[in-house]
Amino acid sequence: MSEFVFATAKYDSGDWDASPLVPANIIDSVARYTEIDVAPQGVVVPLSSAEMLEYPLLYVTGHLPLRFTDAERRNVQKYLDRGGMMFVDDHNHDIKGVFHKTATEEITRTAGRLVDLPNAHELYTCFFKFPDGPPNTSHELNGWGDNLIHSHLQAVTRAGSNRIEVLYSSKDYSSEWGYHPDSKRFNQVDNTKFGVNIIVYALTR
Amino acid sequence: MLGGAVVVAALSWGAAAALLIYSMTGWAPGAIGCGVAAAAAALWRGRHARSTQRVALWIEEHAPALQYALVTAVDPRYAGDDGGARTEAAERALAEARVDTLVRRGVVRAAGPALLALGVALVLTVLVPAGVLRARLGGASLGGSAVAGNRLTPLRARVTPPAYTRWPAREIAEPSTIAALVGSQIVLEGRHDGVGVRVTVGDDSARVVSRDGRWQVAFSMPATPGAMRLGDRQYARLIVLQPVADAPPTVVLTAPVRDTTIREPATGVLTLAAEGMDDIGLAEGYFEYLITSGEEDAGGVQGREGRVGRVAFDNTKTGTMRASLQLDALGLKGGDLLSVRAVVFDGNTVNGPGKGVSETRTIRVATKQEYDSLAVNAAPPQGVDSAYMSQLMIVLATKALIKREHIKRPPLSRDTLVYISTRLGNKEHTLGQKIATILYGGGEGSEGGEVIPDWERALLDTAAQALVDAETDLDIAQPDTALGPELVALRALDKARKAKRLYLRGAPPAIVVNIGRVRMTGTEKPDAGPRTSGTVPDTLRANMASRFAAAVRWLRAPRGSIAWTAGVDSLTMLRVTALPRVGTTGNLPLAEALNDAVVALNAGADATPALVRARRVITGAPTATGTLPSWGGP
Amino acid sequence: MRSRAEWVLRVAAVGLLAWALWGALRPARSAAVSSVDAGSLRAALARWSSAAPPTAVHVTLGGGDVLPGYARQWLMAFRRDGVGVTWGQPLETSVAPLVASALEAEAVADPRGGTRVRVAAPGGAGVVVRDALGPLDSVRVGPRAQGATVMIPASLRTIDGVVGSTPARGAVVDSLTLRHVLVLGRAGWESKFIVRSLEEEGWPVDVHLAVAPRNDVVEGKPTAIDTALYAAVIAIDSSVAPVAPRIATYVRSGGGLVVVGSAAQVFHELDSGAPGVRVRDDEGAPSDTAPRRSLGLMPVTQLAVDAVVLERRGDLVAVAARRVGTGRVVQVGYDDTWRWRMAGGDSSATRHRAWWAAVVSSVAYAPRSERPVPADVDVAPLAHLVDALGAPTAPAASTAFARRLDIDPLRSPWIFGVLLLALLVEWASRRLRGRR
Repeated sequence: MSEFVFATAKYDSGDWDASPLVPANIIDSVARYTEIDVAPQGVVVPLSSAEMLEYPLLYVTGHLPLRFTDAERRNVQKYLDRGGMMFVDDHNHDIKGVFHKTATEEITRTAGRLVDLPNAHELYTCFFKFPDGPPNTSHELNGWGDNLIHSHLQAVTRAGSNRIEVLYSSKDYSSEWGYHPDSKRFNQVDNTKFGVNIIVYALTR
Repeated sequence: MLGGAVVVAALSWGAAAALLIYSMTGWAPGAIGCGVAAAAAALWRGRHARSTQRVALWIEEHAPALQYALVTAVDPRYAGDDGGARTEAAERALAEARVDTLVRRGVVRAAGPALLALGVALVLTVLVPAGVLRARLGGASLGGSAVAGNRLTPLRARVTPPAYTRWPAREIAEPSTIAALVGSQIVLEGRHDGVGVRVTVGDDSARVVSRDGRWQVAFSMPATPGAMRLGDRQYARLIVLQPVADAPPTVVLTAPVRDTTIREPATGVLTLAAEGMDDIGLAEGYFEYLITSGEEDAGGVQGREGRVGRVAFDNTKTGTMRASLQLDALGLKGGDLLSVRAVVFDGNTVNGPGKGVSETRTIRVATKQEYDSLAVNAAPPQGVDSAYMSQLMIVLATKALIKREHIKRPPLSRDTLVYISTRLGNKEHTLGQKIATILYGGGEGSEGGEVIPDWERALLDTAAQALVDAETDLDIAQPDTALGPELVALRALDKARKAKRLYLRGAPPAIVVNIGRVRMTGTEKPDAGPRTSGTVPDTLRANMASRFAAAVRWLRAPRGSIAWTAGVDSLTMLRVTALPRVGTTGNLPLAEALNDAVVALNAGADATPALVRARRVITGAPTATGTLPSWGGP
Repeated sequence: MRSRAEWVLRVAAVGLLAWALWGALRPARSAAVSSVDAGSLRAALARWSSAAPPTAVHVTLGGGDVLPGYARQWLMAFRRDGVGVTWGQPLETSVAPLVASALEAEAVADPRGGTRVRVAAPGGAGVVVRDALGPLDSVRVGPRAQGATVMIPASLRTIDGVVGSTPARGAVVDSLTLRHVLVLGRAGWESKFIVRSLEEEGWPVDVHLAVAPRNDVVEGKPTAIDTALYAAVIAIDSSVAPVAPRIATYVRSGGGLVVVGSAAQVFHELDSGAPGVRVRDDEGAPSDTAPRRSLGLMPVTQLAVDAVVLERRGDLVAVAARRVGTGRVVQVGYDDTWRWRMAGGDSSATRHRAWWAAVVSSVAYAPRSERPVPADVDVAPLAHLVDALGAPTAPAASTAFARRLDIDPLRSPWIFGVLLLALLVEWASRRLRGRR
């Protein structure tokens, strides 16, 4: 049976690899809390290649503009139609910033309108419970970026259902989770639990 | 009196007959003839009222008390014999017998029914909407002839596209479908007056007007497909409205042809070129650029936008755009990104101009460190360098906070001090994690990166410990005590970055997690919630299949019967469902097959091939194998 | 003279009436062999039933003609009454001979409906399946096969299957009650996409996916694995071992089970064979032409005696099935069909869904309710004809009955006309003479 492989999307227009430690950290968390068969190392997969279809969950982040090429857009549309899911995180934590503006435009053009995900959505209850919705990040609490605490994530859902196709975050989880997994021992509270929820949601819904 | 009553009755019968005949047929001579005949018949029937003897006999018959006094009095054979004695006797007898009442009753019986009939005829004439007389009273013009049987055929539709298209108007004779751009003005007209003609477009009634002997209805092509229902007495007709959407334009960036990287200083001219296309006509276009600079750890990433090369197209279907960017004027520095793309708009004024954008080309300005790299890819920030910059900012912020704390007027509130101090503490914590990452980057199972020499590790250890101390003091709002450790960390980081460059090239560090070691060692307690089915099965197809099957059943009825007509209408409405609309691509093969079927049915031809085709589109094609498998499997 | 003529006319009229009376009362008379074709058979049957039937009847069936059930019964009744009934086909080579065929139509256990039509026919025969609207599909029976199968993605009632020119008509005579499907296994892409595909197909799906100890993802209340609740159970991997005995009981009582990949390791008594070592021949993406060639496969080895191989990949058995008790089990060796859906060709999602729907429907337990059989159903027309009237023969020669004028007085209009004229003339003559 296929194991879960954490895949980071590589795109042409920006710094797709801005958070290289997130994959290992989330893989570590998945192994700590679940019995999911997970690959010990993540992969990088270009959006312009058909290879991206082999990874039904993709992590997309960056600081710089996100603009799909025609090939990337075609692949992303095919990917989402068939049941793939993308988790896109604004590494700037800035809704006036270039990543947010360009990424939301590309997502809307390619997949559909982004709407606020209700905080009662089963993404927040599928494994760990987050009764208040998406957990806040230290960058939000620090006043970094747009100096806002975003109370909702946004999502593109399949027509007529609540199945998430694209999960978009302005909360900068890339910074929050961007540390070596061995450093977890310095944390009182494991701030990667929500990442586990995203994985469990993708694998079971 | 009786004679007068007969005359009145005759006139009333005649008028009623004429009124009814004319109202139903509009044939004046016939109506007059019938009226005259009816009046004559009534007069003939009541002719005896003119005869005195007959009237007297009638009265004697109804008033026996007269004992023939009246008859005798009026008999001319006996006139003048008695010097008027019989007359006097008759008058006395008449008075005693109250004959006037009798005569009044006779008058009512003679004239009453006729007057009633006249009244009924008048009421019917007024109430019947399609009546000719009513039409005349309403001022409608009949063109000198009676109303034709079916005013819903022949029909003519005049389609005027929206002004921005500059397309000419066109006419469609006997339309079963009207396909036109959204927002097109459509005038549908038929022969004769429109009184009684009903038209609904979707759910709304449309106003029918009469002009020059023809009825007309005007409306605008809606954005969603629908059916237009026409009714004229017992006749009905269905016309499909098929809106055609104005597709957004497309544009291809032909220069620059690919992404590129340049060195500082960024000078020269960047040539931009693009080709735009639209199905109707382009309105305008321009090039858009976005300059991204900065780094997350050094104040964040900023962007600035601009537009060049705006050009107006004169509704041409294709257009070329050219422009250039003076790179000097953009002030690009090492690490900046210049993204360019072309944008075009069409002239759609109905539901907003359509917008097309090209692919983006990215021009990177390489940093000095990247000059000797063979593959200048965007690399992650240099670990120690960025840590030093971040710590420097924190130190500056702490100093500013201490200075502010000592200003008496106005005093800094405790809450504000705690808030700012705590934020700085969080930043120290984040930076401390980064240092830990650099320290453990060469840890167990990892690949890539460089080995950190011991002396550098010692410096980073010192910095990490100092950061923890500074964080502790900042968390309790003691920035002045925190400043010391902050400076210690800053000096250690400065030494580390000056002594040896430490940066990562190319691919990010590959960390391999020891799954076996960490499996199920998490300390947090999950609580998995139930799963709900969020997948929506495709019920549209099942719904269409059942509607189609019902329509085919009705088509087995005799052609022209109500059931058969309902089957044809049902196929028409199914076709409307299959047409594309906003958010869906529709099912064009099904719409075409159903259109073919409806056309064949209305023409009396064999619709079976089209219906079979439609069914195949709805339910899918069967799969056949030339064997009898022993298992009903896949 | 005139009076005698009148007497003659009276006698003639009475004689004619007596003759008519005798015609009505006389027993059926024998006649020569009557030969009739299928088109005029109905009228002939009615005629023979109300007047004298012939001694023998020969029915000639042209290409594409079959005797409807009522006609067969009618002819059998004549035969029992002593009339010799035979049938046959014309000797001309242009007339297509009747072909032995049989048709069966059944509903498919799938939320979208569907009809499976099996037509038994000789090898090489052409089969056309149609319904009241028109043709549905056509296929040629393989040279060594005994028939053809057509899967129609619509729920139909009556189906015609024409083999050569011989039409058979079948009907779907039961309706199915579909229950839920239960998916058991570990959380992963294969379980996710199997569940997703079945839900898209319209199946209500309960799941129990293992994620962490005491924290599994559950939908529905899969407390009892019972045919009252579930049409089929899909076991994705070996994590179902703790509930394997309950599943075995469920299967033996009629339930359907799909065993995927490594799950075969825990169902020794139910499997079609032992799961082999996992292979993946082709490292490329699944293609539309051979979508499962590049999937991971745990082949079915050491096939059970009663196992039916449903799919092979080269020399390996990829999918096999068998009956266990009153239940059915399909063993699917592929364990990553999700790659077919995600990375396959243009229609991969649709085909993946259809494939999994077919796998489930092939084992699904679906209680059936009978429906009335339409009167015009004739699933094996030639067989029924031979069973009723025997094998075809050549038309019999005329018998040696003497030919004589054989006029039916009750049916001849001339007799009535003569009778009426005689009576009229007699009356007119008498009245003109002044007699009453």
